[in-house]
Amino acid sequence: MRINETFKTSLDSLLLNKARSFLTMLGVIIGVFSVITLTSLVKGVQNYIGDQFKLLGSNTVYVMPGKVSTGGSNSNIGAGMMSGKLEEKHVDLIETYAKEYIDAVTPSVETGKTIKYKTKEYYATILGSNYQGKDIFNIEILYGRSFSKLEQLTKARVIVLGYSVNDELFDGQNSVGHKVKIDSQTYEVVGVMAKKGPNFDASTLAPYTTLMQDFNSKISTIAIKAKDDQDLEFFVQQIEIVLMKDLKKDDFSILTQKDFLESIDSILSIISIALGAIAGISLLVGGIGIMNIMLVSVTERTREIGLRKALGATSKKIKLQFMLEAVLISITGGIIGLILGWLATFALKAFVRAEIPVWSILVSLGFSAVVGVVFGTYPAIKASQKDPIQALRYE
Amino acid sequence: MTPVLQAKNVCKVYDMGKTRIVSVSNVNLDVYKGDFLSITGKSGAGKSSLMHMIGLLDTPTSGEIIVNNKNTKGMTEEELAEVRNKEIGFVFQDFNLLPRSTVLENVMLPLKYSKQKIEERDREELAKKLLKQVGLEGRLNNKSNELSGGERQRVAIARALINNPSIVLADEPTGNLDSKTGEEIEKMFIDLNKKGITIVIVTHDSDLALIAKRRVTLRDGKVVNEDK
Repeated sequence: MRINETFKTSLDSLLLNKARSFLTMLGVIIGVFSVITLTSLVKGVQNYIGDQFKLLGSNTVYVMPGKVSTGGSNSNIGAGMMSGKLEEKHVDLIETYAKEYIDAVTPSVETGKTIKYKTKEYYATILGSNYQGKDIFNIEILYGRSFSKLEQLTKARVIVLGYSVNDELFDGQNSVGHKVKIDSQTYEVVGVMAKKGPNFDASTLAPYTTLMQDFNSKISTIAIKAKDDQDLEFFVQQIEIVLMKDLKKDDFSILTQKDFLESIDSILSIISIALGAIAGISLLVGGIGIMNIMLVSVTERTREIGLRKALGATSKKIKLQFMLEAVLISITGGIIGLILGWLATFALKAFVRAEIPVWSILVSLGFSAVVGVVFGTYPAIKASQKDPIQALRYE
Repeated sequence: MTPVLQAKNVCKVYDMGKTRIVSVSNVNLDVYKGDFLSITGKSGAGKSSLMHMIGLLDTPTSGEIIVNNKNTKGMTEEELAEVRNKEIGFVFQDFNLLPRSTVLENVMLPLKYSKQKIEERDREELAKKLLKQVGLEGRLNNKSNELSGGERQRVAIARALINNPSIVLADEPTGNLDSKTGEEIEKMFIDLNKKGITIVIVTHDSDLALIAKRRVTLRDGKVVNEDK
């Protein structure tokens, strides 16, 4: 029997039991679907975060408290934020001693608060900066203006609403001049940001001085925008020298956009692999399902095996037939899972820029084929070893 | 004339731990082209063991089986399968058809394992011709489990003939049929033999054995009688 004949025989056997074949491949379908969907989701999140950071501009660096390492498996962004050694005087130091290199500098404070307007409420991130924050964070103003240096110095209760915040509280109308409430304080809306990205759209900008006074917020970061065409590495070194006048080397870290992206990429790559591996376990379970059903099938078809042998089939051909059945189940399941994963990714694109990593396609399809071969081998060997006389007598 | 099948001093001994069961003992048998031979005997006489050996489904403990001048002693599993496919057509007591395959597919099954390259269309033509010969030309696309017992056995006979084998080996071919249908099958064997097909029937049914031209009786694994 030629290989195409064996293939046809295997396919016919599977088609004779469509429901069972489908249920058997369900494990593989779910496994491949999970691998594809989860990895594309993580990729989407990765793209989303990357896009958000890119919005900040590539020549902005961030001074963070404590020693922060990026890249590899030792990323600990966030760990340093707890130490809180950064103060306003450090911003002054940078402004005074690194003047020739910087375009703008701002301390950054951050808090999450519910903003109220009449009966409407919106929980937003309130970002505090100095009057230069708008330029540093590349914020475009849709209505009104950003706050002034005077408002910053006088700790004025003024606020610039993010696009979505304004949309939610004022139905997208120009809200400049209206008053909103944050906790017990009343803030005047002086501006509305143009649409920028989900993160910024859900934030508001206020003078950091006001936030420190009203909510006891601490400086979490100092954002510095370098002058254009500046060598970023040199720039970082200069800032470091300036800050060393008051701080020790381990008291702060300076991170560039690239550092952040690398760090996030490395974290998300690990998450992606971990999720892929978890989903891979369902592929393994799917494989065990295939083996289980194939073993049942071999027992059920004992007489058929005996008959085929009597009519001239060799053990090798019987083995190949059953192996092909298992591989066909797993590969078909893999392809269906891939199509479903692709559809799910398509749906996810409504929320994040999800994309299927090529490696996840290759790994999941390759793995499903391997699952078929590995878990199909034992039943196939069992089938091929059947004694034709015993098999023909099997009741 | 050279026999198409020869059993030379064939013995089959089963080792069951401490016990040794001699199932077939020094059987010599020559089957010539056009022969119609029955092998009879009571239960446990060694009929099935002998049939399995001459059908190349089992190997003798000692002795030789020669099919069409080919000594099968020492043949590999693959070689035995090839000889079985080419030279022997099986008809079983319980038909052994693939239940959910069509009549046509069942008849064509041995051709799948044939070394001869026959086009699918030619295979179908051949199968249809044989099914016409056994009176089933109208049931080609029926599933075999939709057929009556007699019809199933006729499909099995057509399947046994498709590779144009040297011998048709039938094991209790009427054992699962009512007497009327059994007689029809008996008649079919007689007709096939008249057309020159060599037939060996293994049965405990002495009436069925009577339709054969030669009758070999086994007792305790030995040939005790041979009628011509």
